Amino acid sequence: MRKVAVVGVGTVPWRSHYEDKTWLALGFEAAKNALEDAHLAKEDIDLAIYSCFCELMLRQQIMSYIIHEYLGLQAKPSLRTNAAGAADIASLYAGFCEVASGMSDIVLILAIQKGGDLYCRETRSRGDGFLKGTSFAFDTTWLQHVVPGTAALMTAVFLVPHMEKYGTPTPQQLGKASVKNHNNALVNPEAQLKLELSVEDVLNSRIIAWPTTMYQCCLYSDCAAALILASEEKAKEITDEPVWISGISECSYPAMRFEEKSLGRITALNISANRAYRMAGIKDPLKELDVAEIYDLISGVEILSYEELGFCGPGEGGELVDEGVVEKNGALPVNPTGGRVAAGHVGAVSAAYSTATIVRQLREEAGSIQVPIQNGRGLIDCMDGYGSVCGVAILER
Amino acid sequence: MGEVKDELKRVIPLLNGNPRAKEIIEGWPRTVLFELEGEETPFHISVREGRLSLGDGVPGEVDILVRGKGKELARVVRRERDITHPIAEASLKVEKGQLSQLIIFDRILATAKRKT
Repeated sequence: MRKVAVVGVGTVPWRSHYEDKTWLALGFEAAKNALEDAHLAKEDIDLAIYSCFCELMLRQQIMSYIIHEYLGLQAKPSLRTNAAGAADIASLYAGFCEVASGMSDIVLILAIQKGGDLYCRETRSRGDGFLKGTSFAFDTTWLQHVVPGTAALMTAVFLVPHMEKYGTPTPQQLGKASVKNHNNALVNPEAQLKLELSVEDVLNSRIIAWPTTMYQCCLYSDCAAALILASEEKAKEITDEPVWISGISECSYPAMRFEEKSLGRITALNISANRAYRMAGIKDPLKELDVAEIYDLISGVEILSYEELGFCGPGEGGELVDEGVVEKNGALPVNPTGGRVAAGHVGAVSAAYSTATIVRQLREEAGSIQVPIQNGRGLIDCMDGYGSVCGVAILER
Repeated sequence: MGEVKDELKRVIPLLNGNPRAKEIIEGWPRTVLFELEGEETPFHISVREGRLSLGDGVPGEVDILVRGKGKELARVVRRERDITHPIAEASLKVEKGQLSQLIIFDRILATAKRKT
């Protein structure tokens, strides 16, 4: 198996709605930025892999061949991955396998999703349109009519059962995790929401599904992110500072089966993490990683993820927040971008964006959100709104 | 006069002068009647010509009827917390109308403390 590096990254800032840019324009901008970052031209690309959460929300079916032509990549092969909100980690996984196997030398991964182009006719709300679009990503035979939105679902399936079992995270710890990410977003020029909040502000905001309140929930955004992967041989020609993908895994484990053993657990994340650590040779992630971007669809999921990712034992995630371990100046900074609750979120893009961010961190080019790099390793994770499809990647310089 | 009414008297002129609040108020032509412990008499809030107004007594038509503890609603008006909290604790109850409509009223109140 060949080594695989990320040699170029390109993003556009998170925004609630790009009224003046189509999804094609956003995708073009991210891809162009990534190619410029890698000092490559589109002719150098062997394969393009596209990620999108919900084509309904783009108002465009079969988006991959449209954007492929828009980018001028005719006659080159393309793929589109489909794993709901985790489609971008699936793209990264597919791109890694493509380069590692020797099928391609240089792969473009382009993740695009607009959340704000669809609006609800009854309420004239883009937020309601987003939720309706999202509902079509649920199992339309059995679940669409009975499953609540992501925040309520994750609270019911993961957070509350975990709190009942361990007594943690406490509401205070949830509030602190949210405040940490909101504070981080204040200095991130690409963040969508910049609010100075106290723990009380977070806990007293609207109850979405107890104990999850509004400021503990991810945003709805428009965004695009692009990554250029290259083989070892090509990477060394392209850059002096390749960032290697030293571990990667992605798997599904349906959380919606409501099995007793998986209530309060994000099982697919735990399986993915263990495989990725084994591949990267990581034994103690808390000590061996410098930075992590974790999928905080709700703040409770961020804290539970610390446990599933092995940063601490079961029931101990809240202590990492209390002790400041995951703050920007802590032992393992988590979400220096502001994460999904403050920087921005849309399915099938967030993990690609996180990967770009960690690459910048490891190059020490992250500007105002830079954290100290000592071990030269970072982690990203990803999950769909059910937590049924999860993925983890370890990046290393 | 009770605590809630005092708070509403203070905040309503601010909301009527707030462009973001006005936008929501114009799409929310409702009358809310409050019958609260700690308030001497029932009172109501209604939207007339795109402006919020506070009135005494029971109006002819009521879209939403809220009963419960006045001091809890006063905290909501002061934006110490969102209206979903006293509803969840059952210290305020929506006796008529939909909670979702009351949440829109809460959104109007929230514009007075918007930090962005």
